[in-house]
Amino acid sequence: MQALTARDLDRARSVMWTYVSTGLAIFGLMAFVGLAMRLEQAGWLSYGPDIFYALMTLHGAGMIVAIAIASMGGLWYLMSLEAPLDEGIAYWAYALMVVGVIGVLVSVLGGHFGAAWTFLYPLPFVGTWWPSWATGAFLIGMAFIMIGWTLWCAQMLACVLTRYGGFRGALAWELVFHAREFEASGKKPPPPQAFAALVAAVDGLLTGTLGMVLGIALIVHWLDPSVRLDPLWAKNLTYFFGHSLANLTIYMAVAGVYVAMPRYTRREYHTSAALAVAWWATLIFVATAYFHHLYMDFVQFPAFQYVGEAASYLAAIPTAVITVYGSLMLVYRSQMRWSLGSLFIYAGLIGWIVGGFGALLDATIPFNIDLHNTLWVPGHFHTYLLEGVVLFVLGWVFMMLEERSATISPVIVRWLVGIGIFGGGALFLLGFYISGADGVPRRYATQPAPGPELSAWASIGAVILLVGLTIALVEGIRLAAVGRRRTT
Amino acid sequence: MRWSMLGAWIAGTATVLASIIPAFSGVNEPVAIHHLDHSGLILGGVVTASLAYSVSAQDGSNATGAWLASAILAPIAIMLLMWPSMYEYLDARPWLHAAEHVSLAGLGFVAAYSGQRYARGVGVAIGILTIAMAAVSAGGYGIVAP
Repeated sequence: MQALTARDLDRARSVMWTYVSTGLAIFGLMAFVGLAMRLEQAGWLSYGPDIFYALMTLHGAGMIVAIAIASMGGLWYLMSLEAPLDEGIAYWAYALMVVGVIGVLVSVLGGHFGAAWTFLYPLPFVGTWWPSWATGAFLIGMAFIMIGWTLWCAQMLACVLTRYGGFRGALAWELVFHAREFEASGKKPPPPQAFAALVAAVDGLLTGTLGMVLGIALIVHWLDPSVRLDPLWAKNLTYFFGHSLANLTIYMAVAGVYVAMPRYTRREYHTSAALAVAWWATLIFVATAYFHHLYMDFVQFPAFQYVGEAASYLAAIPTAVITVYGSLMLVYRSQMRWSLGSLFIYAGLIGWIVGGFGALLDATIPFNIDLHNTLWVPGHFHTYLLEGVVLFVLGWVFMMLEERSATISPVIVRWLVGIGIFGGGALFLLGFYISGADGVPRRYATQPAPGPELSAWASIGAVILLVGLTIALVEGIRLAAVGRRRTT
Repeated sequence: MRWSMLGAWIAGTATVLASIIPAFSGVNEPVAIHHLDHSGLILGGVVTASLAYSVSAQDGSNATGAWLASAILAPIAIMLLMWPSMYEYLDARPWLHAAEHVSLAGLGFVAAYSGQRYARGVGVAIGILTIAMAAVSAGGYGIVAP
């Protein structure tokens, strides 16, 4: 393995901070957009449905890209410690995604495009109140995001294949099937974070490829409406792309957990055969669980519905048994220091499990009959994105800041951030879950009762959450300043 | 090495012939089947690229972003070349149709070969995905279920 020079390390950190800070900045802006949506649903703001659906589109696209970019930055940095990576490619991927985000912003803010971030065919073209150019700007923007994402995934794939000796090495095949010989040979298996990189790369390329098929088909239809698309085909591709991308954000961010938890607990998170097999399973289930989005499509081949339900359940096993339980075992009696970084990561594991449990309920066909397209759905994905992925990213950021500054945040700051992010977050999320369980539909500017009342409570929770995030931001800036003074 | 070279020539020649002949013999088939034909031509390009790469046996140490960029842009160009409403126009112009087929196979070659030059294994993965793009298109790109 080639050792990194100090200059290489600085460059790798620059790439990471570029991605992470951009991702968190977009996340912060989109959080305010989300608050504006909940206030409209509560009846405390009144800007009308057209603006609401445009904001909903912006919020969805912006959040998914923000969280993906932040996770990509962390994983890219971790893999650059394993093998030299060309930062030029990382910056190209970043630039393409930023151009895509600008396209989406122009489309939504300038043209009020409002077909939701999933741009499900034929919604972008039928019954529109926005100009045609806004549809084109959105689709082209999303295409740029997909190209940037594909470029990043291809670089990650090249990294793991060259570093660990092809697919067999990257999958730790020898460790699983010839453990004794492998140990006797003195070889080392890939570290846990490399499995996250492999899964992100392979499933990411698949996601980017099929997303691009759909994206180009939609762009062609936009330019030449005589080219028709099959709606069920388009829906399958849409949800394969959307579900898998959203899912991969957490698997990318979990790489940081594999590295940060051992640092906090002073214990090793080593690669075992069970961990390798768990990631093989994840590789398959990330790509097959999306069928649960199409339960209501009666013309879908019935076997796919069962694949969707089975994959959704099976996907939980590697997560719960290997990553979460494994992390808890590291923490158990380790006398871990509860800094903001470790709190974020630990709470992120809880958020992942809670959000995942909500997802499993919704992926169960008899429950889905009641919960399908209700606010339960945003309830579960807000839980695992906001209280899972975002906390993993914040945990990683604070771990870096705490190490650099050789200090941790005062108790009062930890309490304030905790009350804000976890307390406010819980109130905010409960609004979704209770409304969803009561049948309030998602993606509606005007909701039936008890939607408005619960939206009001959720808005209060969102405000408390934003206060907590703001305190965390200020604390992060303080730690960065202390670190800078310490190292200069 | 010699066998790989021979294989690359055979695969390349077969792909070019398969690209040209149907265009001149006339194509009268549904869009979905035509998309699948294209995936077959791309498969020929990918196989040729994989064999050609194994002849040159690059170790990937001179990997540059340019190889990766062409590996990612070639499949996008393929999707644009498979613009369904162009098929009727191309069917009436055999030379143009043949040129389109050769371009599709050539772009399949570029995607796989460039990917392999960037890093061994990446080209094979991108090649397989490029074939899949054309095959998946048969499910609904320019097609509406009855």
